[in-house]
Amino acid sequence: MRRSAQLWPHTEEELEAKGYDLRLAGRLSLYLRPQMGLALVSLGVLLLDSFLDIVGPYLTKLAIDEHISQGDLEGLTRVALLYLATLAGGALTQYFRISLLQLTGQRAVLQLRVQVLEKLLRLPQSFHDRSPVGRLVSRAVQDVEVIQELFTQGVVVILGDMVSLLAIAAALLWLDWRLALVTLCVAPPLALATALYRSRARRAYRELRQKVAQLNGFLQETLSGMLTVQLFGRQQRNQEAFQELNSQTRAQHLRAIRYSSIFFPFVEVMAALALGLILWYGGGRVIQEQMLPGVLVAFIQYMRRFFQPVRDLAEKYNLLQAAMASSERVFALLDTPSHISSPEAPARADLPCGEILVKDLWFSYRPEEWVLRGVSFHVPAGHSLAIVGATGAGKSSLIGLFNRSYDPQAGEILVDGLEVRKWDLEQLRKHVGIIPQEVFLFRGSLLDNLRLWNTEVPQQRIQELARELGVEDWIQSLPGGYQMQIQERGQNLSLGQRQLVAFLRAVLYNPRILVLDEATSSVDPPTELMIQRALGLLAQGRTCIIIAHRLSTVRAAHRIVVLHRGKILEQGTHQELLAQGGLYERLHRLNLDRSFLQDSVSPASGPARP
Amino acid sequence: MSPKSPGQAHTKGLGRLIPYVREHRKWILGGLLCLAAADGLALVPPWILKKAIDGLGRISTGGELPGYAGAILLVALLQAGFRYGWRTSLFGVARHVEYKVRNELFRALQRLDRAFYLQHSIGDIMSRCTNDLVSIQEFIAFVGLLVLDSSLTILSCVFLMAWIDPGLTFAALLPLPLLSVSFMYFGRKVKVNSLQVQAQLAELTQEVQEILSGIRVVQSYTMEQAKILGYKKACITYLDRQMSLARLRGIFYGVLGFLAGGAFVIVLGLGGTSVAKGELTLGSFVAFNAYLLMLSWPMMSLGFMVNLLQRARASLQRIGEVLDAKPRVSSPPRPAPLENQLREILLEQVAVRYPGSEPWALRGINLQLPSGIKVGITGPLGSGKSTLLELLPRIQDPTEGRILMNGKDLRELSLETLRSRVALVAQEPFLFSESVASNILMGASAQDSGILCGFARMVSLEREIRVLPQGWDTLVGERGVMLSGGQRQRVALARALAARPAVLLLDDAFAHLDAETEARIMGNLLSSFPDMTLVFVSHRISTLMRAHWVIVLMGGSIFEQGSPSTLVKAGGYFQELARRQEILEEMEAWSEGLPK
Repeated sequence: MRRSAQLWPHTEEELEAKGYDLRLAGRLSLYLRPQMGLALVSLGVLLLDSFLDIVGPYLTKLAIDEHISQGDLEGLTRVALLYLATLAGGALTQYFRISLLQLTGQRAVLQLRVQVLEKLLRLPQSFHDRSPVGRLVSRAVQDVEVIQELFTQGVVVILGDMVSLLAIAAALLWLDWRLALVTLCVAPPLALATALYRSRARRAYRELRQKVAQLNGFLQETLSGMLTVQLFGRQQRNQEAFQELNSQTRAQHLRAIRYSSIFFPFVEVMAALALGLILWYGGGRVIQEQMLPGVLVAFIQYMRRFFQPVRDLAEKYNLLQAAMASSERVFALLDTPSHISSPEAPARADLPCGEILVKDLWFSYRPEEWVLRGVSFHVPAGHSLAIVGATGAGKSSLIGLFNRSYDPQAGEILVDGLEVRKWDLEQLRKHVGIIPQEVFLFRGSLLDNLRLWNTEVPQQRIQELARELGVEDWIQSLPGGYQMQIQERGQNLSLGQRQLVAFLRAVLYNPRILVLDEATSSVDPPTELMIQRALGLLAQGRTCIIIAHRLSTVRAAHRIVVLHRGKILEQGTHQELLAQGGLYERLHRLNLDRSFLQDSVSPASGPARP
Repeated sequence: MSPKSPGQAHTKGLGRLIPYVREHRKWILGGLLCLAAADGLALVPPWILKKAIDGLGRISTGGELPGYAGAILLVALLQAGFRYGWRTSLFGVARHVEYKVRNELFRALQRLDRAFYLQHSIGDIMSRCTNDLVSIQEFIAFVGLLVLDSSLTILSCVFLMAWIDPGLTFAALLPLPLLSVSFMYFGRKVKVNSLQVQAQLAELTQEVQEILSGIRVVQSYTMEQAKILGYKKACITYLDRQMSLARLRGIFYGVLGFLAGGAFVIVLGLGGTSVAKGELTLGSFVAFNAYLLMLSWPMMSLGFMVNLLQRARASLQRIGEVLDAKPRVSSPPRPAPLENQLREILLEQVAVRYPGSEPWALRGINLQLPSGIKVGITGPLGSGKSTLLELLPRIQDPTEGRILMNGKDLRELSLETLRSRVALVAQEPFLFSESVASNILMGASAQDSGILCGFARMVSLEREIRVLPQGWDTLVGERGVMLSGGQRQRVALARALAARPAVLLLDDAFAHLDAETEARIMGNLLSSFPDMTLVFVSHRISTLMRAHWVIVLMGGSIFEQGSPSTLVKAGGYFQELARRQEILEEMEAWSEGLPK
């Protein structure tokens, strides 16, 4: 858990201290590189669009100075039609600008989206144990969404606004450079004010985000622990704490409102100042006949367009910040080292027959809390081994080691004479099939759940195997048969039914070695019977390691291991152990059945109640 | 939730905001006045422009130009003041209302009981407290602005334009209705498409959530590629939907720009002709253009307003569902008093059935618990042990029968009084992400470290906490993740003891502890609190043997009961349990004896 806290250390202050912007922007731009062609075309369209956008006031000037003042109505009509044409052209470029930029950004983000999931799937079980699913989902979806917004909206608007500003300034200078210089006097104070607002607003919004996060965190925790809150009568104290946080949040909101209420009206004052300057200096030049009146009108129209991008830029700054924070978190996830992965040069087993050798295995989830303490055993190919013991004996921990969901701290597991760490991970996992106690099913059809979305497996093949396992009739009896729609986590099938699905999954998957954690929970008798029969068929011809809870299963195994508190107390065949007259014999005599191993010994862990 | 007709819900929905808003009516009135003033002032600069430009032709000195420029600046400064005024007041009021509603939501949530929390996931409630609250805040912030600003601007601009040239006004306004119509048309389409985008995003979220929940299966069965392919497909669908939304937006903005620009082309053509013919001055032409420009925003804001209204209605309804929800378990209006001294607890024909489930969770339970008795409860999984304990602090009420404390039905007592007497420690207790000390003392009346150490020692926790780097101030992390399962259980036990209850209920609260620690803590409890009624669920014979009375539950009914010493010879479940545990202890001893 301590490690998981380090995984996301990035508060915004820390980010800022690191001068993150450039590094992150550089890394983000890597995702744009494959879309370079598209990006360049979009940029071209963007320039064309900005150009068409600033033609209007110039045409107005043309109309006033060349035609209206001369009484040239024919010319005026021509200009008006030209204006209409630029509007139509502008509508087209607008359309292409929006959709091309969206496409560029979406494609770039698609790559990132898939990459994040790939990374999550590569990270080992131990990582997932300590990372709440909700947090990972928010990395993979929400944070990526913010980055997408940056790509499709932020960058575009910022780029477009920059281009517009430059284009307008150029047009002004071209029309009348003296008046342009006078008018652009407003630019420095405007820039200064924007910078000031940005730094103030940045701080205000940062504190605001922190407060909002605190407030929602408090709310979330109270909701999760509501029963405790109510039983201890903490409502009043909680209410006070919540209101305090809430009022701090409100104060930050009000502060942000104050800043924007000063900044935006100030921008308007600057716009009025520019207008005044145009009227004063430009009007004078018109009177002195150094400038045509149309230029004056064009200047007035251009100034209006000049201030819109300024307002936009100030607002987009927030988005930029949020996107940087999100990308920092996403990249931190992508950079998480995965210590369980295929070796560079995986070795191949000489004879993949399914032999297992476990040598002096030590394993713990937390330092110094050993779950397995020096476990050793051998299962020849095609043999079966039953492991019995009370809950907490370390049985379930054992199974994750065979397919490297976890790696042990000491000792080794050899599969077909080859240490599991030397195997190609995918090969190993194809070779060693695991059926956990809690069978997890995905939303989708039963058929897809059986063949695990491998569409190359025909339904016919599945039906043959189902018949062999004796579950075909049962499947046909389900609503929809193979097409039955499984709900989230398979909740519309009973526990026993889910196990049958898992068995059928396993035969289809056809591993040489099968590691099975038999379910402890009780199942209705007909299903139980089907499970027992299917299990027997499943074990045939395979090397099996079964964490057993049922006497029949234990008896059917070639060898039996009695595990307790991470140590092997006895091992041998059923007959040997009985003859030995040790623990197993005592257990057996006491009618070793499932109720023994579930109820009396295990501190039954029921579902957590709200 | 009783079904309501949509019409009813709506009127009720928006009317609900009135009391909140009324509180700030002075600020709202002031803000609206500022807004109106700012809007009025906005009309002045174009008129000044008209005067100035018309003046350019007639007089040649240009002497009044600085005056015009100064006037524009002065108007702008005044306008800025009013703008500051309406922004801070209207936006501020929205934040104040948001603050108040959020407080009330929190209060309501703290009052609601399990029935509500079983129906609503935390994610759902969180979304009501965040997203829905945002749309209400936005509604309050913008509704006055939109309605007043739009109508004032439209009326005054059209009036001034008509003053300048009625014919030209009519011609220029021709495209504007089209603008509104296309705004509505595209607005609706955009809304449909956005919903589809949202739905696909939710699908992506669920997909990732499911893959991560089933990560074990995915990795064990090397399904990574299949799952990535599936996710990629869903992502591409998402991309496609985003693209069709973008294309729609592209057309929308294109049409919008064209129509709005069209009005200017009309003014340029017709107005220009009038200027050329001398029927209109150049100044009027410029001012006319300026007023026309001011019209485009209110025209476009119509769609925004409709959207805002719809969202606010839906959100208010969702928030209302929380505010109006009634807890099933609550204090009576006039609670009966309860003596300080607890005499006995009586369960009479108590039965519990969970809604929507067929079998009874508990049935026919009759028990008499005199003060100070120690009762052990055992039985297989799902036999009703936890349910029985939950009845006493009224986490839920019995479906049938009643429970009396000192002769009074629990439902007649105030919840606060009852729960200050009864403490429950669950098997997986919830700790708050605070320090160890504040977790333990959360129900205690006194807050000193002496008490803290006392209770910690009682649950064999003191030494372990002292060696932590920050000792009692160690933060336990979200849900107490920084502590081990056994430590969490003991902190929860100390927390319950510190509240000095008359009745302590332990729901398998020692599950994560080894036998030795459990025995020590049990001994401490029995010797230090002889007068406390103790009811504990356990599977450990050694612990159950210390009870005065043991109850074996099976399928929701009492299967056997008696003193442990008689039960252990009675040949029933309890004796069987004892025999099995004997052998377990043997295993224990054996494994301890093995060389490490």
